[in-house]
Amino acid sequence: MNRTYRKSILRTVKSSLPRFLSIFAIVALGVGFLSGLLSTTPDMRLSADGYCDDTNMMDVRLLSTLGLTDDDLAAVKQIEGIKAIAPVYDSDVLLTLPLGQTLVTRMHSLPADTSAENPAYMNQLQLIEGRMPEKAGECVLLQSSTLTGLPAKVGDRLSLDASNESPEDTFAVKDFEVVGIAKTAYYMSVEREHSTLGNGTVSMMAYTPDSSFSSEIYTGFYLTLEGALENNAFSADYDALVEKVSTTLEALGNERAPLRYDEVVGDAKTQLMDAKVELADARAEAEKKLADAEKELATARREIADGEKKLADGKQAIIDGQTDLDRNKDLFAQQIPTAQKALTEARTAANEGRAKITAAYTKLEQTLAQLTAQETQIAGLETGKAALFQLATSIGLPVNDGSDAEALALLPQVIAAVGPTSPETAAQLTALQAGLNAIAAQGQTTETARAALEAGKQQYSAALTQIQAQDSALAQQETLLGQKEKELNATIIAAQNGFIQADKALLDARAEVADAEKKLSDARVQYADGEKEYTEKKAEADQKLSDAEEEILDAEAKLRDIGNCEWYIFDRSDNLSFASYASNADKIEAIARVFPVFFFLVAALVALTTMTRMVEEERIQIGTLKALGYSNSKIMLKYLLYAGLAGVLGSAAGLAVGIRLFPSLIINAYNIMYEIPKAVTPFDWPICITSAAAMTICVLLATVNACWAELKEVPARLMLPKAPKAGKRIFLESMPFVWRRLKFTHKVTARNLIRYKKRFFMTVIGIAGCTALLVTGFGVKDSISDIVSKQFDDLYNYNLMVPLKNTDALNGRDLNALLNDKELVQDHLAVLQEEWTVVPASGKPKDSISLLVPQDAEKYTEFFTFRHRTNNIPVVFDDNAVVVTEKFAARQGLAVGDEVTITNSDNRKAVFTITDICENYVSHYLFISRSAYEKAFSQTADPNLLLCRATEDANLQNTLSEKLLKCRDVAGVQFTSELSTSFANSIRSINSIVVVLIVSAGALAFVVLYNLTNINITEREKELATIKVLGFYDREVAAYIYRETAVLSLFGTGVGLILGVFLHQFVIRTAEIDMVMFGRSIYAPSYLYAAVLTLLFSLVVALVMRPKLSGISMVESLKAPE
Amino acid sequence: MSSFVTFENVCKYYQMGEVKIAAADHVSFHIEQGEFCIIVGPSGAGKTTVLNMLGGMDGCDEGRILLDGALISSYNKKQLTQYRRYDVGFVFQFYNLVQNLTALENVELASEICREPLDAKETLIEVGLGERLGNFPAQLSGGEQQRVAIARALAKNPKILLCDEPTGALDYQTGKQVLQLLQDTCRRTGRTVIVITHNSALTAMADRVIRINSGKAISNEVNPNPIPVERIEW
Repeated sequence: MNRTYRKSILRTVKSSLPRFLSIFAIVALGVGFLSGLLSTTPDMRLSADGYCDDTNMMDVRLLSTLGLTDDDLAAVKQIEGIKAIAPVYDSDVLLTLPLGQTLVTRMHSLPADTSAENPAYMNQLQLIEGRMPEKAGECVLLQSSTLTGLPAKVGDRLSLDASNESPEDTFAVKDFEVVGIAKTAYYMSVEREHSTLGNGTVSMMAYTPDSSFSSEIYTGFYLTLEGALENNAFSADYDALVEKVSTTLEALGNERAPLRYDEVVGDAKTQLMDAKVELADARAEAEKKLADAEKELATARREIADGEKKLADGKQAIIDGQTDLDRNKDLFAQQIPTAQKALTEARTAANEGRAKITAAYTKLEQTLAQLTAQETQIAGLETGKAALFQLATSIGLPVNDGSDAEALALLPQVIAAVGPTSPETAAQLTALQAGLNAIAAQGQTTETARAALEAGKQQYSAALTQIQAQDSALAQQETLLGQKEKELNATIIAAQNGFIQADKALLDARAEVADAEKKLSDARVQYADGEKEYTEKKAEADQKLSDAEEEILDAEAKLRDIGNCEWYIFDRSDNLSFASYASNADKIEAIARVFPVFFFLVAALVALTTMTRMVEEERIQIGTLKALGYSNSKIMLKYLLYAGLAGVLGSAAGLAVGIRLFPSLIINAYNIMYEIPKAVTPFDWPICITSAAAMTICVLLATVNACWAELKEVPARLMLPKAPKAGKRIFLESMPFVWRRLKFTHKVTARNLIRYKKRFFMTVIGIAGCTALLVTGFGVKDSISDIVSKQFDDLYNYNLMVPLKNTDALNGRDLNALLNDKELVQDHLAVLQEEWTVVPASGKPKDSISLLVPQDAEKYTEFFTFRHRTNNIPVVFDDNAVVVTEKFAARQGLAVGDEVTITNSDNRKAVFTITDICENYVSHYLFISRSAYEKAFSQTADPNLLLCRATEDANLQNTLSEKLLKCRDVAGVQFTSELSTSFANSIRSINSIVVVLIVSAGALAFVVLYNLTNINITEREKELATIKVLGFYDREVAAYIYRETAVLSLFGTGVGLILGVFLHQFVIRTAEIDMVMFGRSIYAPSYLYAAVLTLLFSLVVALVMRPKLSGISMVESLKAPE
Repeated sequence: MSSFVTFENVCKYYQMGEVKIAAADHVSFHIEQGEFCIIVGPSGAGKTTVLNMLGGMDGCDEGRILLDGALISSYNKKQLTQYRRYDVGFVFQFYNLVQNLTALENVELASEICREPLDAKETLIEVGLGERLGNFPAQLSGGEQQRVAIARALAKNPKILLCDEPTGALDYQTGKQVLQLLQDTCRRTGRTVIVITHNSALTAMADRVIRINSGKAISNEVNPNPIPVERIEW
């Protein structure tokens, strides 16, 4: 090629930069999008594989239901193809955190040597914080980005919860110290790992040195395989490697598992027997104790009855005694006064007697005193007379007879004689004289007086004797009376004492009765207590016995559970996070295959239109070159080079951006869920070259096509300006009522639209593609987010599934208690769910299907909404119904009335005739009634799953889970909310793809519209300049052009909306997982968004192109036509 | 200053790289209402520059331009657009018809945006195209197309009719007929018609001839005895 020609090409590029950019951009977009999306899946796989390889992730995991022994280890080591074996312990355990909450933790063991070079250190941890555990009792926790944050931190001490069953069998330590936080490829995402502990879900993952475990029995072996590292874990070669070793392991398992079984089951049986004997003993003992207690109670009852009788007697006695006493008291009150009165009268008489006697005595004493005084007087006179006579003798006087008269006569002589010498005797003689005179006066003498005196004395004595006799009688009487009084008093006192005593006795008796009553009531209370205690004890004993029975049944169930010892061989695809990652990668792959088609189509159109326009513009130049002698191929070369340059540069730009951008965008989006530390996005040369070449060739072919039309003509014709394309009448003009109403500008628009067909189609297809992509993007989002709410809210009318190990569980006391607690479980229904495989018609996939047999067909319709998806009409489900789910029917090409055959691993077969097809999104189901099952399989449909409408309260749900898991034969607890959340999480990343789609669709729309508008403007520059000269305002000029764009955009949008529905269906069906049916419908807002966004893009392009319009110089109008 | 069109020391400069070129260098002239005026000059003399400024397609850098008392030179972009819309009728050398519109529609294209347009159909009949109303430009001959263009300009009922080399793309006879049409229009309607041409032979038919050379108006003469077009030969 000569220099000038080359120059000419470069200048063409420079002078028509917008055109060049159009092709460049569409190629870049197409290639970038295609290569980016195509390499996303390989890159996702590479990234994950790299992470696994770097951390020595296990290839195969061997588990045994009853654990593995050192002998097993030795046996496995013999197998060829194994690079390394890591025997491990792992155990779910309840750990208590410092703040008190208890979490189900999956504790894994670490080998002693945790250096990266140790081949037996698999699923290596990557420390994020802290250090690796070095000794028993230390652990690291797994960091996880989707949890709301780790509940524990470095330095915390986690202790084994008391509710763990014999943790010492598993662990050598009582608590764990958190020394670090780490992550591992083995758990790249936090999937809900199930556990039979606590609430049924593992909340925390931890790793501790194997010295923390006390068990002799390994829970599993991790294996790495020879050659696995070199292969991509997603490749068929890798699968073959794993398959080979797995098969060998399976064979080994069949050999070794029974040995282990015998060992374990022997122990368990002995334990069960012991438990049974214990139960019997306990029952006998309890019964004996109860009988004794019953006897005691009877005695007490009897005693109480006796007491009651005695008490009644006592009371009667008291009443009798009181009556007697009262009577005696009355009698006493009557008799005593009479006696007393008689006595008083007697006493009065006695006293009168006494008074008389006393008076008599007094009189006697007076008499006596008189007598005594008379005696004294007489005696004195006699003495005096004697003395006188003596004296008178002495003096010599004569004394004759001694009479009184003689004395009286002598006296005066004696007195006179003695007087002067003894006055005294004289005084005495005088007194004698007086006395003798006195007596004499009375006519008496001393002798007579004496005689009278003596008579008086005798009289006195007689009276005294008489009185004394009287006195003596009275005294006797008085003594008698005194005695009588004394007697009466004694009687009174005695009676009174008797009364007092009787009263006291009565009081005592009453007190006694009260006492007895109290005692009796005490006894009654005691009896009641005793009875209550008895009842309680009895209930307790019953409870204990029934507990023991349950325990035995549990133990039996466990023994049943032990079942056969089996080896399970898992590979990475059984690892939840790995498997979900792989399926996500597959989904992207499916979507990636669909979209670039649009870009190709549009790119071809853009290139074709653009190049055609270019060639037409340079018609005269082509003619000139031809006339100058350039060959057709050489002339065409220019345009091929032009297009090729745009194609190659565009491809390069697209590859440079797309092949890194799209995979990292999507991988990063998935990193919300997966911890892939490094997104590997290598240039995948086959993909790069394929996409670049495909796109460039597409552009070049369009160019050849455009050139060919011109080059056919002879130079002379080419030199002439191409005759302007004639105006044409269009069909609208045949409808004058429409046409006449149009303004000329509208007429131009209408005619132009139809005149430039190529442009029309390019624009419509481009814009339609853009709208369709948007509809699809939003629709994919609709469809996927649909499933969660439709399946878990609309179709499932239950929120809890409880798998049972055995139908016997339904008879479990604890389970029934829970199911009848309306606060926890409103309603429940037992069903049988079995996994079967369809016997497909030829060419149909061998789907697995869940056979669901409710205990009560009618009630099941309350638990599952049977309906047709398209019209919401209910599907009949009764005893004769055989209903399959929609996706299954579609995959198997089945319709109502067709027969479906299913088979299972035991090679049993059954044929059902479908009566209806129902809406369902997740997994395939075949619903039949119990009677249908029994008829088909001649065995009862023993339920193995409980569907419950349980409480919505999260706390209560936790309680319920914990309690359910403790029930006999309950295999697990699954709230549908957990399912829906984890499902919703896994599809959330689809949103990132939607964003990619929207952005790409926008870019596509922009390129197409830009190109269209650019062509439209440049092609009609002169026309625009002319109408400007005619005095059109800028906005009128813009409207002149944009009206066309607007119509095309609207038309394209409309077509796109329709196209979108099909594209959406296609994408959804392609991207669907086998077991899941995505929603089929797109919601109205999605159409609206798609339409509005497309029109918005058009508007943006219009605004961007506006300056170009205003910039058109009116001077153009003066130029000659080309 | 009662002239219909007045140019007063109008200058227009173009920056060509480092050189500033005066496309119009103090151009002054005036044209009276109803005159058939021819502006004549060789290629590159500045005729088109004058036409652009007079037609409101471009502004001037110095001086004043007046039309019917209005100071065009001070108009902003919008006012210029309105000026083109209502006051100026433009006839192009290459007709500049919209290919996608019929003859009638092309006239309507202009008449529909004016305040007091003439009837499009009548105007076309007047220019002698009563039979070709529904034809597309591609179906018309050059002369016919130029008649459509003139009809389009006239239908706007403008104050002045500006014609840029109206015969430039036409053969001799057709050119003459077009010029005749223009002259007749001027005479019959009293409309001011300004024709720009390099062909000085045409000056004989004008009421006024303005000669332009090297960006200057070198003469502005009134022709007291304009002759009919058919008598002019070139």
